[in-house]
Amino acid sequence: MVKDSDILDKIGRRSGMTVPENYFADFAARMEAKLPEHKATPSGKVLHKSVWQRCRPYIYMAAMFSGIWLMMWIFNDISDRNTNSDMSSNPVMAGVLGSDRFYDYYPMNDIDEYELIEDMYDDGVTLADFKL
Amino acid sequence: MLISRLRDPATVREAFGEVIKLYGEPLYWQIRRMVESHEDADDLLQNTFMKAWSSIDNFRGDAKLSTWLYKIAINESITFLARERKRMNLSIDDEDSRLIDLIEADTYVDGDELALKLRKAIASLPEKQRLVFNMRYYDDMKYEAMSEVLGTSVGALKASYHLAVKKIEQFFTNND
Repeated sequence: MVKDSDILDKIGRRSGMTVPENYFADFAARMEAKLPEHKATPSGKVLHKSVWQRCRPYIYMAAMFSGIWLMMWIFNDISDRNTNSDMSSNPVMAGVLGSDRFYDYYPMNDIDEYELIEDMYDDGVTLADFKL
Repeated sequence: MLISRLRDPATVREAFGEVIKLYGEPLYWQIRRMVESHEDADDLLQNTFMKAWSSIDNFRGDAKLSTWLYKIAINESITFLARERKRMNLSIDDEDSRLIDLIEADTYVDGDELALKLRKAIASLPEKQRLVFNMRYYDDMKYEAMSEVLGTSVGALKASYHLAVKKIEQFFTNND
């Protein structure tokens, strides 16, 4: 018995509903008499399947494997590109990096003269600091 | 074993007769508490067993026989209530007044005033809450079994039952 409320405890499981006399016994007899003949599903019955229905699982499986292969190929390609992006693998870059004079020209070539003067000015260097 | 006899074409009819005797009464009360009228409950109980009989070969025994029958009976009850609402052009919110009319007109009663008041209080609950309350309170069904029948989580069923009890208490307070 579920006891969650004083009111419900007081009433209990009484529903106050009744049924006609011998209802359940009569119902069972009435219902059994009403049941139609049982039509058993024939066992071992071969259902006709269309070509598409027969091929469908294999096609789905092939599509799934193709998808997996494509995904792996794409990941592998991206991974290769990342590996090859190393500067030393580029012959031109390797030549520059291998040169003894690399630091003499390579970094400086990228710096604009105007930017360099601006940076010096920011650092407080003025024309007076230069002996002309 | 009843299930194996239900699977055997030679014994299925006799076994189904036992099913009717065994589950007729609990299913009747479940339906009657939903539709309130004895005549409607009788019709719906017949429909329930007729549907169970016509699809007995599809019952694979994965679920309990009682769970399967309860599901059919509840579906029949809910479909019937929806059909009646449509026929009488009522909204789901007007259902309680129709059910209370049926309770007041019911001739199959034992005259217990308090129980009658409880029926009216239950009739004022929303449909699913009514189902949950009836299954738990009258049938003392476990939440796990109710979850299988109604397809709702145990937590939601517990909350629904608790809320139903509160609403019933409120109904009694308001109608003292």
